[in-house]
Amino acid sequence: MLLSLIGYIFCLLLGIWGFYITGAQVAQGTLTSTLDNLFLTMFAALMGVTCFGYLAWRFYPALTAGGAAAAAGGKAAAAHFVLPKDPDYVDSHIPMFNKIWIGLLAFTALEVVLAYVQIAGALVMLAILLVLSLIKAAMIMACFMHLKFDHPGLSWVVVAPAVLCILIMCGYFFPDSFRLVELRP
Amino acid sequence: MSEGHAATMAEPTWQGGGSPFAVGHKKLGMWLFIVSDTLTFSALLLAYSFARAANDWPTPFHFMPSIVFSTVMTLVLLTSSLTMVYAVSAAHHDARRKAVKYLLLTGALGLIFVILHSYEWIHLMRDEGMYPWSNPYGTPLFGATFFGITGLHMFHVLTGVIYLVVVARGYWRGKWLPEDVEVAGLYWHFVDLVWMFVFPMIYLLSTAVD
Repeated sequence: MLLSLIGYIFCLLLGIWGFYITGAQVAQGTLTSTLDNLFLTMFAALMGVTCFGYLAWRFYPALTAGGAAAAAGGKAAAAHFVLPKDPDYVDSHIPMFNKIWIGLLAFTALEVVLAYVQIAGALVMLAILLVLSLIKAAMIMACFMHLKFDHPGLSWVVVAPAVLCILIMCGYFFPDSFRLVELRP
Repeated sequence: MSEGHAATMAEPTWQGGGSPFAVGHKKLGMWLFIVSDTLTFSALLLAYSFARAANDWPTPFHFMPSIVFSTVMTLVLLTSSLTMVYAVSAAHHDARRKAVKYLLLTGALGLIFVILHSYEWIHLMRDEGMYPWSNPYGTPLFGATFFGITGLHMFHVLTGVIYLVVVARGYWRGKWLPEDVEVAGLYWHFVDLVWMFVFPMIYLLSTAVD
């Protein structure tokens, strides 16, 4: 009990720290002054979102139901851990899968059209294409890999470390590559 | 889900009775593999971005043969993801014949993707003179990153085709369960997901500027 309480308080403090750093960087306008600032802000924002997201996920039933109903909510959450036995839980979503497929095709078509007309420079194109790809990846992971219908803990365990590791890799790679650009004759 | 699993559910969580994240151990294992493979591909794509930012990068792919061709490849891979979803759904309904049919259809689409991709590679090598160690457009890193990243992805697709055929055979004979089909589906969707990043970064951003 005490350990959980300490954990929640730590989580809360870490979340507040994350959003404080993010807010301070944005307010001071130093967000893009150096790459280190940018990556610190990305890291802090991710930390804030993760901590508060976890707290919201943990306490949302208690906050909405309140009191005695919260205890029942706790039991319902425990029942959530039972493996889904209903065979319909994939099949009932077939129309949604078709829609997701059409959506993925539409996003791909949009990307190809953007590459064809070339409205912007390489960096802006990279940003647009990466955002579109992230949306497509989220669609595939949420629906085709039905992460959306699994236990929320699985999503946290799968997505959060991968995103964090990729951000750390970005933090190591990109400052050096931009340094190389500056050094070029 | 296996019967033995349900029997151990009565045990306390700390004695191995609970199922963390409410998924079977095969599915959890596949997810952890996918996380590690995500990092492999993101390291490669970041190395590509590094090389690209630090060099004068050629953009030689013309829209008409190259981009249209790779768009068709994307279409094939996306459609194979949809047929995979149908296979998983049929397996959950114990519609064995339908599930195996869709599994093999998925594998066939994957094979079409590999054939189209190999055709493109041969065209690039024979007609354009582009190799992993040299190319006529500029820095040799262009060919190295192109063949390295698309090669690793094609290897994943080829492995996936073999995996699907093996799972289809085992499931048809009753050796494996619907859960195994679902786990194979996770791998297949992941291969599709990687292509969603390879396609824009390798092909679309290398489109020739007229």
